[in-house]
Amino acid sequence: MKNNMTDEFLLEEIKNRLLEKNNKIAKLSLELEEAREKLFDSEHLKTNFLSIIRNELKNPVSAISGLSKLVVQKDFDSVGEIKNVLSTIRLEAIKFALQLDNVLTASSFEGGENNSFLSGFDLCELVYEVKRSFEDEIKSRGRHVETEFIDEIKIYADREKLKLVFKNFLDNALKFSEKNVKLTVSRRNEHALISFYNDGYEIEEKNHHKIFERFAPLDSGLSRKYSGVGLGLCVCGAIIENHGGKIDFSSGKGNGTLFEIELPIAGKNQEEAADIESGEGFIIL
Amino acid sequence: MNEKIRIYLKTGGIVFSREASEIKTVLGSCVSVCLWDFKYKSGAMNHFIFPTWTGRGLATPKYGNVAMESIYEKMLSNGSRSQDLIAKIFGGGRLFTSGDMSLNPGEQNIASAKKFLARVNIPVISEDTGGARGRTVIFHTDTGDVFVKKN
Repeated sequence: MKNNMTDEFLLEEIKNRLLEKNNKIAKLSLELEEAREKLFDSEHLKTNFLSIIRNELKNPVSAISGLSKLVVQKDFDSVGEIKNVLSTIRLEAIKFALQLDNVLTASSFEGGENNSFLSGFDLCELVYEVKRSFEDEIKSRGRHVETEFIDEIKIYADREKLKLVFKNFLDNALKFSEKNVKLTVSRRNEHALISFYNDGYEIEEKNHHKIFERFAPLDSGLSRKYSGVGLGLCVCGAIIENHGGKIDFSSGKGNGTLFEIELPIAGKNQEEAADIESGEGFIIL
Repeated sequence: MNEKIRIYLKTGGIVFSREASEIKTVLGSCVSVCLWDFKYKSGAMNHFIFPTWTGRGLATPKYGNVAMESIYEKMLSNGSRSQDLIAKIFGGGRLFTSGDMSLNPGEQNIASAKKFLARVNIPVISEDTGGARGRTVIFHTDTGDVFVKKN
């Protein structure tokens, strides 16, 4: 009788342990499945990115080479006609340079090369410079771009990187607007506020989380209406974060879309300026 | 005698050097791992703030899993062999006290680094991690020595 009870007890114990192991296996396979899905998602994103980037980088190059061949081979009736073709070539080259800049900056960030070349400069001047560099694009798209410089701000930041950020935001604003775009520079507490408004394409709430994801343009597939590799905002996010700033956006029915960039005026990482300290207080490991 | 090259390592950055260098960084809950090749006397250091990249934004070495893969790749692509590498881990302090122990970012960062190093069989020969204070860390890539000061 005693033996039987022990056997039953043992059996029960084995059953319990088996159940425990089964649960562990179930949990592990769930984790494995999640990891597999993540891997699949990331592969899917990369494949999608490659097909988009092929078009985005190839199309301007084909246009530039085709149009320049035309200039060389065709007899034009007037200088105006040649100028038109050359201005299209220029626009395509600018588009290409921006995409290439985004890809190279993203790759340097992902490779851990996040060095900043900090200097003091006038923020309004930089925004104005970016707007001027888009003048032909603004004209060819028939947009109206208004600039409002409410405060004069001298900022301590990486000028070239911020230039890339503003170029991306203006490029997006022009691409997605119906007619009007507005750029504003102002001061909010100890921060500079640069805003880009466009009266066109509104971002649906279900897509809000996708905004700063890499290789995820909101519009994808063969039927996509807007160009872009889905890398621009991602690169902008990394640059602004590196400066200790942040990007907000609001998009509502009939109100267009507003992006706001907030940057600390004094700059970040003051400790970088500090020299290597003397050996005092250090232990060697 | 030539002076060593002095480099400041920022959050999310990776520095590799085969020249005699002093790589300096300042850590709070962030973690830095120094990989040193005792054969070639070269080294690399990372500085990450979050344990894992979640798929949002760029996959930069700001995230532990990316930073560890990158620093390891950097050493291998510069001619090191995995068996000639040793690791030292620093940082991961608990600078802000929170009620939920499981949310301590410092500990998660340390765990992320150790998990990777165990996977690739690189021994951790010294560490100064955790605690309630930040650290200034200077890695000498020619000797493998790391100078640490609690801030």
